[in-house]
Amino acid sequence: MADLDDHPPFSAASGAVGALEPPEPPPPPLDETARARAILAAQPVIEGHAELPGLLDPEDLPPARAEEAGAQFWSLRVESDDVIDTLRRLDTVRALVAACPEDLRLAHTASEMVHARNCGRVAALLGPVSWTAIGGSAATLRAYHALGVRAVNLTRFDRFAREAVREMNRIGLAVDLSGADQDTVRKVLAVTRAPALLTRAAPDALPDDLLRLLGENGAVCMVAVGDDPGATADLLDRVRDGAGPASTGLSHLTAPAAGYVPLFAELLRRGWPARDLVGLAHGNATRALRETEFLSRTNRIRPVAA
Amino acid sequence: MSAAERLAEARALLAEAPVVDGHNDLPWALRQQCGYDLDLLDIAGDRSASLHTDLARLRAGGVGAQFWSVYVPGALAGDHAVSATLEQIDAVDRLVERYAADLAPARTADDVRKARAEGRIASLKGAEGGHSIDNSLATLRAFHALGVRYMTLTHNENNDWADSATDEPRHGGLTAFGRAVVREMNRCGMLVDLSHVAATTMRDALDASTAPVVFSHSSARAVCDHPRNIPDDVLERLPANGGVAMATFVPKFILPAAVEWTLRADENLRAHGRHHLDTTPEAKALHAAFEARDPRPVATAATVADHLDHMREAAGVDHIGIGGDYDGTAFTPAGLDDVAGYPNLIAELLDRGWSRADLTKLTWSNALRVLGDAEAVARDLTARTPASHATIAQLDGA
Repeated sequence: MADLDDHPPFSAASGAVGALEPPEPPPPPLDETARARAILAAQPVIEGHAELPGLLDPEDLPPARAEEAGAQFWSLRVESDDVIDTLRRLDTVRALVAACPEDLRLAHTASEMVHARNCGRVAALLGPVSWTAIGGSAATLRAYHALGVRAVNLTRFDRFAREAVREMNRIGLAVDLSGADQDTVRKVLAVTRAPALLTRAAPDALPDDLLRLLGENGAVCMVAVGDDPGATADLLDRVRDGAGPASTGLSHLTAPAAGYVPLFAELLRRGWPARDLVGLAHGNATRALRETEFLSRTNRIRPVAA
Repeated sequence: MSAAERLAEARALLAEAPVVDGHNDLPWALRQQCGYDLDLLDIAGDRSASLHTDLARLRAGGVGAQFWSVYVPGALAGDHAVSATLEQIDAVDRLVERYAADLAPARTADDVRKARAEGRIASLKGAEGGHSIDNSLATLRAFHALGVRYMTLTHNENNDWADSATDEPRHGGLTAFGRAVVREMNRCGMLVDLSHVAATTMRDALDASTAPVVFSHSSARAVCDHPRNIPDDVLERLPANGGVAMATFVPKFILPAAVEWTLRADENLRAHGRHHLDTTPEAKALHAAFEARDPRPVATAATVADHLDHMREAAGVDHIGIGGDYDGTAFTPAGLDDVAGYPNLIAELLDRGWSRADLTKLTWSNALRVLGDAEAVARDLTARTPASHATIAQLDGA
């Protein structure tokens, strides 16, 4: 309680005695850009999609990113179907994070993510890995989780996928439905008990009823931010209207120099309350991660999938 | 001391200094026998009908720590070898999770000591064959992160960077990439296991390694001239390296009469147009008929003790250990029939005049020292050197 008692002396009394000094004029109303800047200064962005440059040159470290970024999902998706290419990419991201201890810190949980931010680092979350790099093996799924991976990009639904989604719920791996066809999204949402992620969402391709299902699931549709704030805001409006304000999120900047301020200013002009902007920046993604972790803790008593 | 007294003494000794065994193939046996479904093959019950290993017999044998082999066959190549190894690693983790009252996960020497203090059997993982990493140091590091604490450089076949003891020489030991693998293992803290490798590979690895090496399941070539065993000049290098050679129990490697008999048995199968490792019912019938004509020579605890006596002479009492290879071999020595047998070996060594202090080194402290020393080397190297991203194409031009 000490910090709450730490009032400056006489502050309570000064009002009672009367104004000894002329009252300060009220500050001029902030324009949307200034308000957006203020919000983003306090609310770090969780980016759904960061990617390694094709050839990693240690001279270029750390990789460029928006200054508003507080956490990033590092994609481990590979062109091939190989486990080994995924392990290589994982190794490179780990090496990158290890090489930039002042900038980046690996995070495996929502709490570690917040802690990294409090330490002034950008949290690096591992994932998603490609669905094909699971090779139809629950053991490989668990190996990725043990290696710190926290999301899998499920793009095809078959009998193994049904078991795999349950196993992902059990061990605490988020299902990323980016790029999955509508049928797959519907089937996964019918099985999963944890919020889905769409780290590279394309909301214009999602019909209204699917957006509503995603909203009911608590999914987070992370939208890429392009040059035109109006166009991005249209996409986010579509998610907010269709799935609800708890399902919005950000993927990455296609032009990192611009930052997130123009988008947030545009959303303020469109009447988004500050609460929804906090959800968009990080609140919704953090909630989804925490729910995934909580479900996993309560699910651990279930037997291991074969 | 009577035989019964010696056995009681052996058990008392193992209660304090339990066996750290270098190699047990239960994970592969579980894959073969039950597809990893432990409901079908519960090792909390008596599994002596089909396995050398279950919890009760591990306890009876005085086992305090086990390197479980996460073996995959050399016939698996590329990504299939990597995936199958992940599956084996997962199988050990599930096993340890399921039998948490008896098995404790262990990655360090201190974990092993903690498990002993808790009365649980420390469970470590060892990969058997460099083919498991598919020529990728990133995969090696992933295996380390998943708790694999040794890798045997080859299995029965050569791989792209190391010669096996049981294949035609191809590289003359380790290639440049093979030496890079050894250095990276030193750096991340994975023991270099030299069982199964050619003598040339053993010597090259001893030259390249800055950390102690292990032989997870190999005996002395001077006692039984089989390529799976360790030549004296290599044993004599262990004091300088600090490593440990863990004597194995496999009769066809340790008993000269069994080596010759195995050659005759293999020849019999080949004469009938079969591969000597064929295990189909027809091949088994051919083999049974052969065995009826030519009875199989039986090794005993004394056979293993002969090897340990020699290894102690050649390498020193600080550089020997035990690696039974249970569930990785069809036959076992009389008296060492399964994992409950270790006290019989200790009793035999007591009979030969081994002191309590020496037996403590053999069963427990040598292996713990090697684990701890490899951890210290890794701490030092990780602080000073970055992870290697060398490729086999760069180093070997292959």
